[in-house]
Amino acid sequence: MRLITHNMLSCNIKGVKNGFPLKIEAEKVIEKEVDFNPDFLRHMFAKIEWKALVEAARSMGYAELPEDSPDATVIESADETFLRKLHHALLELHLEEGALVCPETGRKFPVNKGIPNMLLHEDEVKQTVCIDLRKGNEPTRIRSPKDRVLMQDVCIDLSLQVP
Amino acid sequence: MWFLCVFYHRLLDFRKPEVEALAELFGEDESLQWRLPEHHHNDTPFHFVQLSSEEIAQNIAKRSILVKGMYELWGEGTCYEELKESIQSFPDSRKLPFLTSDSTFRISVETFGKALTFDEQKERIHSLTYIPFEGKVNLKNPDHNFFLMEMDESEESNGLPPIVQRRIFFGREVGFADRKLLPTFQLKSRTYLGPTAMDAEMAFLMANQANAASGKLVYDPFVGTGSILVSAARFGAMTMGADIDIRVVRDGRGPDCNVWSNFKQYGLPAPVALLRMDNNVPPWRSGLKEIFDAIICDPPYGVRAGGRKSGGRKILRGTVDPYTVPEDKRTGHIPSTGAYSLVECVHDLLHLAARMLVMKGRLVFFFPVLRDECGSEVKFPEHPCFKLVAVSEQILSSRYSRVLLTMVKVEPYSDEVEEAARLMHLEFRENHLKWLEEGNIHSSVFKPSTDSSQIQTESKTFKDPKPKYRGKYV
Repeated sequence: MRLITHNMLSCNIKGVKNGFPLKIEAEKVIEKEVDFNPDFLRHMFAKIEWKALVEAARSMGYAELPEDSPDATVIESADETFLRKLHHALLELHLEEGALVCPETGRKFPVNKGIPNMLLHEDEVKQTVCIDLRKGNEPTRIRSPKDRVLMQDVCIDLSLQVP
Repeated sequence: MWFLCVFYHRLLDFRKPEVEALAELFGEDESLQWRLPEHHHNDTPFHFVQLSSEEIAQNIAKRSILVKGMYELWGEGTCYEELKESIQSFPDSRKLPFLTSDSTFRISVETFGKALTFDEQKERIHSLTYIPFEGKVNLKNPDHNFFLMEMDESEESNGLPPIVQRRIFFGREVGFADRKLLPTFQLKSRTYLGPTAMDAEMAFLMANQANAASGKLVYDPFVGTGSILVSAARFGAMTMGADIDIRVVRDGRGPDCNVWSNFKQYGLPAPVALLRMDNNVPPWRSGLKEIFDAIICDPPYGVRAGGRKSGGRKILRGTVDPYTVPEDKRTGHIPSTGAYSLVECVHDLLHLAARMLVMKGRLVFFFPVLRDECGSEVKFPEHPCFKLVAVSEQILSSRYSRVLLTMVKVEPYSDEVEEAARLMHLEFRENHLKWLEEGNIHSSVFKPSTDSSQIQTESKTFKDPKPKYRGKYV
């Protein structure tokens, strides 16, 4: 998994507000050479979250990136030193084995053979829930439109919102 | 300038959209104008198209899969006398630069719908002596290539109307296609295949429709074995793919037989990233948008390979509440997945594309349609951010076909779009069973045909809008 991918991912477990950036636990990092393509890098630079990239590169063992995001003149200039560093960090560093950790919940998304597994477990996916006060604050799942209508009756009485 | 565009006679619906997409890629600003030769039917391989320059025509022909060649027309007619008059009236200022004594040339005779013996071809070439060729003949590698194209009136066959009338064209070749791509990339010799791997020709067509090119990032949310991304990579794009099935993406069939080896086989740069994720609950960070230049994919129709999304069958129906996996079992746990209807799948795809595509980015995907619905009433998926620019049908069986839809993003992603998508997402979740049944292609394709004979007698009475003679590669 490359850092360009890491820069796009966040934890999407239900209820998590701050799932980006994921912390990297690196077990095996390798470097694979990739053809240098300055147009692609310039195009991508605008979309990258810089701080997250610097932090992630550091946890993979590469500390050459400047702390602050350079401004546009550096990118557009003919001088390729910065672009080369960006190229190396973004595309040539690979996390083969390890995990991505959610900063809020600590949940680990494993990375095996370079492929991150971002699937959520059954209880982490958002389900529609409504609070039915008739049963004394027990959350009841809305299973059918009929349930929702019943819920609405209750909630309208108590001026609550049905999700 | 008008050029004669000669197509390979296959995948008829796909020919013009490909040229139009490539024209946009190579710098044509306005939509193309097309003209048919006199008395030719739209299915003919010969079309006139207006392009701004010879260079664009050459670029289009070189990259295209279905264009045989682009020609500057010097003359046409129904017989050789008419052809002579037509060529002689073509301005000398346009002809002479290519007939100079220090250039080499070659004249080829091509026919459509008939065969000529070598002697007959020679005779026709010699009849062109009124054109003042001054250069030397070079059959292997000439500076200028001239084509004499002849066709007779074709007969009606299989319900096919005659598509060409007797006509002769003479033109100078401006660009020609390199179909050698196809035998190199054909699926027969590919290491890692899956049941729904896209065949090479179609994958290249899709990559052309999406304008994949160097410096662009192309994404496939249903990557599978990567067959579509291979073609995009061949055209120079950086590729990225995701799939919910980790065995296909990570393991393949062994260390030398997986998605990475498919790219290595052709010496192409490997994908920038391969992910395992669920398109229904995507892990993109909020605020991430407009990052892909093109999204090309073949979503699961539910006929031969169904889609999956998070949530087991019972959880989605509400029979069981979502359970918590005990701590010690968590690391190796494979989350259960449930059926993902085509409607929801396409909705999620459009939402993803609306958010992640750059402005004017292209979304190219296949959509299955049942064939006994009257052709013009089929409703294609729509989205406020997108404009549909091309629809090309490929017939798969007598029951259903698939259409390649090309959409261009014209409106930016807004809060309203996000909110509408969120509400729809909730709607799908709540009425899971209802959406599974609606648009269920699988049952329509595989239902027994006991009542089809009745349907046929009814349909003979009204005209079928789409001609029946087309097959998978027509």
